[in-house]
Amino acid sequence: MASWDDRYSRRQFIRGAAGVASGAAAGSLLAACGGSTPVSTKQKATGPALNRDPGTLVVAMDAFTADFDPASYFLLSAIVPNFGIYDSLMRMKGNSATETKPWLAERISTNAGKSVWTFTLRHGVKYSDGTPFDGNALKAAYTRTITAQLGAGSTLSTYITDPGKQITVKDPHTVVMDLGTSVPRFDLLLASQYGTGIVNPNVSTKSKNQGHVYLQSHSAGTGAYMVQSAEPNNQIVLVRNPHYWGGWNGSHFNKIIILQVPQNSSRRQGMESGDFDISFPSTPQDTAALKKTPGIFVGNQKVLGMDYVILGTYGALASPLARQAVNMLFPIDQFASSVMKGTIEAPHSVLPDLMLYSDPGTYKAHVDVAQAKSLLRQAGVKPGTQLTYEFYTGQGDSAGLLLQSQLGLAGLHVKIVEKAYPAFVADISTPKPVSQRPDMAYWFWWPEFNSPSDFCFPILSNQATPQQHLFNGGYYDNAKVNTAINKGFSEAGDSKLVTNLWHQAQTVMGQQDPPWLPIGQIIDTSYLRTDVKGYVANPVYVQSYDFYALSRGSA
Amino acid sequence: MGMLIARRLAFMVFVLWGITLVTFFLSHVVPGNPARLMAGPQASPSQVAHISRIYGLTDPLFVQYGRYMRDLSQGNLGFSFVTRRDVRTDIATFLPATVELAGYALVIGFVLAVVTGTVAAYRRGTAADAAGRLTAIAGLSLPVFWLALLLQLLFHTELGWLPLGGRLDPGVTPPPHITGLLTVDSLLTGNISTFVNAAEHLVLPVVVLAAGVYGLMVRIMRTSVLDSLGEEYVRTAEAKGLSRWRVLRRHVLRNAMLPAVTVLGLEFGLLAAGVFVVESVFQWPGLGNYAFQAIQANDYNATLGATFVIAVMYVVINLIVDIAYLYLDPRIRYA
Repeated sequence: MASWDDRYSRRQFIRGAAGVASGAAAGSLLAACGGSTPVSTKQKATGPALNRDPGTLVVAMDAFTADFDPASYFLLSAIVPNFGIYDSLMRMKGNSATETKPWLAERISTNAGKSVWTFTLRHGVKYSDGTPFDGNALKAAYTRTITAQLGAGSTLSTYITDPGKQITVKDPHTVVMDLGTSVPRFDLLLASQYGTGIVNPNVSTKSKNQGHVYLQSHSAGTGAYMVQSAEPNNQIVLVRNPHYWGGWNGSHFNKIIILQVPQNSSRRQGMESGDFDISFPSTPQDTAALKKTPGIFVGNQKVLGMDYVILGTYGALASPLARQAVNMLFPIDQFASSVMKGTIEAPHSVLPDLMLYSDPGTYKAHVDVAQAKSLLRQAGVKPGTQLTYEFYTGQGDSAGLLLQSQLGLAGLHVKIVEKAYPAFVADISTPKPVSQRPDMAYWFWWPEFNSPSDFCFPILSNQATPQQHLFNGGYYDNAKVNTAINKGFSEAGDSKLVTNLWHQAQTVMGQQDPPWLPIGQIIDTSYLRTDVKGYVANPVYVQSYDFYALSRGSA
Repeated sequence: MGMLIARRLAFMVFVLWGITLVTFFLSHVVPGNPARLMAGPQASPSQVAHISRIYGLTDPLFVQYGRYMRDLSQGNLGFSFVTRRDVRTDIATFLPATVELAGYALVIGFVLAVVTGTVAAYRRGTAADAAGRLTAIAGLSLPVFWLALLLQLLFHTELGWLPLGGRLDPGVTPPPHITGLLTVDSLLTGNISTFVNAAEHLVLPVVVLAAGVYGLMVRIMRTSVLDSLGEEYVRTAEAKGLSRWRVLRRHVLRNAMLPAVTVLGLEFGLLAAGVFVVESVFQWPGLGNYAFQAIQANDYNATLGATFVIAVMYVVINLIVDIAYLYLDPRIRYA
């Protein structure tokens, strides 16, 4: 196979073409077009200069959502700003995927059965308007998130469905939660970024829908920063919360500006020119180039997410043998290293390596065309069969092209279909006749918290197919996997049982009855200036930044 | 004149109604559930259904359209699922940015084109003519997206002369809102440094947008001026001993401007299309960017609102063009 490294990347092509067209007037530009990883002449030696207020942190995201309601914000585009605004009871510790640390809960204890959890709340915590935070505020905030039905209540309602009865305020600083079942790692759930932010219950009086409208342009958290202004499609400005319990004695940024920069090339240029301190990743080619740019750090933290291609358990791929064959035709290692330039890592299981109960070795990627052809024959898939591969604009195009080429080796034709994001989401999450479903579709996923059941339920459970308007778009239904998912929630206390169930489930999914072609484990390749200190990437907090921990130092 | 405006305004109502009808049904038949996108992928079906009910997405399409038209007649453009605000508020926020960008692009592109086209016609066959035609072809043929990236690379990343995007540098406080046009508001409030900053941010996107206007207009102006120069009334004026400048101003340009003004109204449509791309590349928080995001996210109300406002502007500008015709050529009378 031709080396993908040898191909001209789209960005290089643009640069090359630009140089030709602009002629002598763009001499300096042409000079930058020569290498495979062009670097601006200004920052070749020293890194990008900082010609702006050093006390302000500028973050460039591809898109953000100005929604500051913990009961509704659920997309990464809203998680990033809110991570600096809202506190939860627990936080993930350092770069650990399994260790938590007390946050608004100063101490945490549980009964022998791990079903009743007691939290001693931190003293001296105030919301950004000066209102004290206590047990009643916590109960009111959680109740609001669970009952508001605005999208983000699913995390807490995994175990708390009746907050009025299950949450008891013993005294202003002691709260007890009775989960009704053994949940040994409830702390992991409480450390989630999704739906666990503790909002000031006073917002309920500010506007209709329990203050939801108010929280589209204002914040009401106990976190280090609060919203100064939010202009959709433009920028969110966060300033220090004067009442922050952590205090402002150390070195911290005064202001956080989050910009919406949708173009990949613009985010890269902004990093190269020093306009941004932190940026969401751009293309793999840009990431590879920025790794070699002085003054810029490119993150390399493997997270709990997975890129994969859904394989429909209907039509031509109905037989598990056919899905095994597809897995045997895709060169995952080369794809990760050459096409994706190391921005993903080859999977070792259907579960990400850092997930609880992950069993590396249950999935072994290898290409064997002869074996794949044999499996297809056994599955009754004839040469010349056409399969459809669907992806949405901006994600999954290169995997589709490679899949098309590789499946062609086994005589299969792949028709690649590009869709807009809403149409794509509709295709994999709403019921359609078999003839209208894609055989293969690119998708990715990460959990709300470190739990294989939480990770797998919406994408692999037989209770989460498009019939239920969830994301098991391949209509996968395997009894062992369903059992592992369900027991993982309800029998979480029986560690031996759950370990065994997840081993079986991973073996089934990785070898016998594949639901997907797992393409790669996601790596958080955020870009940061090297003079931004205090950054620690956590596998659970995908592409999120603890603004309070960051400060400006020397490059 | 009064009758003309009244008739055009009445016609405008039908045009706009047609636009709402087409846009509404087109946007609603595209697959995708905004409630699912709003709730997030992990939301349960009951939560998605709840959000659908809140925003009336479960009603039959004609009921939703009827409600939309009723609200529209009261000036209510609905609620945006993406920005989580009233579309009217969003448009009030984003429209001035687009007006400022497109306004400068239109004026600068048009004025430069009139000058270049006239000079090229007067100096037909010379180097100035060749330069005028070459720049016109470049302006017309360079893809907007490509030109925008090229200019960013050259003037921002390589030379460091101009900003990458946005309306102001991060951290610069905008002037108090008077018109929403930052250059105007900063001047009105005497804030020169903000004016300079806003003007610097305008340069690249305006150049990219103006390139298309300029390219088309130069060719039209050159041809029109050449035609006028061959007319007998021009020879007569010259024979009368009028100065060259006076001949140009009163006899050549006034007649040559008619086709250019006609195209100017239509050019607004092209400009509106260019704005979508330019605002996206330059992170310009305008109506084009807003509409682009809305279309990508199946945000019905925002898509409809932005389309409606752009349609109103298009119709109004063409009405102004018709009125300008009467001034430029008193012989024209609309039946």
